[in-house]
Amino acid sequence: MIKKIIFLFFGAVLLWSCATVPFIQRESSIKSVVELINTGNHAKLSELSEIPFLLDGEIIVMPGDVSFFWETALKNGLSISGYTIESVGPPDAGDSAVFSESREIAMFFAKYVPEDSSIAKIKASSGTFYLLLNGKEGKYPRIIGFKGDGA
Amino acid sequence: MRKIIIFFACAVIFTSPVFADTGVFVYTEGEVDLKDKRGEIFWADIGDEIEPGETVITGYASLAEIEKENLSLLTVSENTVFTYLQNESGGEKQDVLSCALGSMTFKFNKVLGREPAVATPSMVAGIRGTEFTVYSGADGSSLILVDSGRVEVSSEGETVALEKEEGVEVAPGEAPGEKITVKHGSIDYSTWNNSKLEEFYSDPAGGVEGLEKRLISYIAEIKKLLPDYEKNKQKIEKEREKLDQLEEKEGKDARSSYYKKEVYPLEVQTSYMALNLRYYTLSALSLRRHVAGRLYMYMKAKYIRDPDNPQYTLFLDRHEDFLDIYEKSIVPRLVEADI
Repeated sequence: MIKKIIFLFFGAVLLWSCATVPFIQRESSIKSVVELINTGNHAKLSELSEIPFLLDGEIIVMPGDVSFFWETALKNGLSISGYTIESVGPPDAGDSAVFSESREIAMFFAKYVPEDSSIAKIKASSGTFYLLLNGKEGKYPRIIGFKGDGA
Repeated sequence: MRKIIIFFACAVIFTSPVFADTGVFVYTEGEVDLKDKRGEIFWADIGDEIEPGETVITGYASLAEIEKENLSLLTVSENTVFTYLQNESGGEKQDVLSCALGSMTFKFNKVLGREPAVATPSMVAGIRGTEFTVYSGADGSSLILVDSGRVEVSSEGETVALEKEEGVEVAPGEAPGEKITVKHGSIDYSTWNNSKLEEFYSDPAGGVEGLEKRLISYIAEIKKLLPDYEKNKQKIEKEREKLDQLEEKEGKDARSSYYKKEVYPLEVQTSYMALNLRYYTLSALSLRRHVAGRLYMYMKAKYIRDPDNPQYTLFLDRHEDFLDIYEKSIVPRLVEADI
């Protein structure tokens, strides 16, 4: 039993210290963002959103605009109901095209999306959504981008 | 080739803040961000400098005051995007104070040097010893209100001259409207901006059409400049070779004399062309980012539960056309720091 614990401990340390292992957001942290959307918590969403913020193919540079978006979209009924998290992983070279195929958005990814970010694809009854996330702030990840087909 | 690179490096140095005017933040309040030429964003503080090519973004309930050598005071209000640009006009370098969004007040001393121009997404204004306010609306419209001095507002080939207590509104892609008489402080930015946004919501596709017209006019200026600019670059390369040959045959004095007479004016002309190309590119970027991009955000938020609404789908079609034009003509001219 002790051997097992020691083995697991060193295994965990090795894994944690290995720089090549990408940090991927847990499903629970993605669900925490979805929960904020579904409960209409625009203030927390604004607080967690990075500047510049990617909304579909648009780069939003003013903090007030990101707050405006979350507040207005939630007020107008944005929700992600009946959903499943289809995939979560580090963004690869082609993932900028999920937001837009423009070279400008590819440049945004190169400049503002850290390597240890995650892109989550969420299938919901109201459409397909993508969340671009990075790091942690309490139980929530920071939000770099959002894309949604509908709501 | 190396010499050409050295020349352009020198041109950049001579047009850089070491030699050009820099502005200084004399007061900041709230959230004032400065995006520098490398594209890094940081909080601007009192005493920080702003250089050509840099952008100030103020947040809610924020304010920045910037002083310049030939410009008494520039007050950047809350929720405003201001970019300090330069272009060439009449064979000289000219400062262009660009307000992409929000509002700014300009107060100038009697000017010793050349007065700057003021630009918004819908117009360019020439100023003469002036105190005035510029409003840039969410839809790309501008409102210019003059307190003293004289302002000449130009758009789509037409110019309107404004004197004390006069103002004019300019919609993107259109000539300046009728002059209005207006008392200082009688028009509130927020009320005016909301009315512009309401106008936009009533015809969103039409709103983007005006922006597209403006974008095309920037691209036309770039296209006009590019062939001569490329030709000049090649010419400079040849002239440099010629200088080397001249020095070999007739000595350093002959080289120096030929350089002053033939090469230097060509170099200056070419550096001004580069400055103007950059100016139009950044103006187009500003139009796309701070006007078209924000309008998309407004529409997305408004129609989030009604994506098939004809107003929305019409807008999206037009927005896509705008982006196609921008992507083809402007994006290739951008660098990562611009994003």
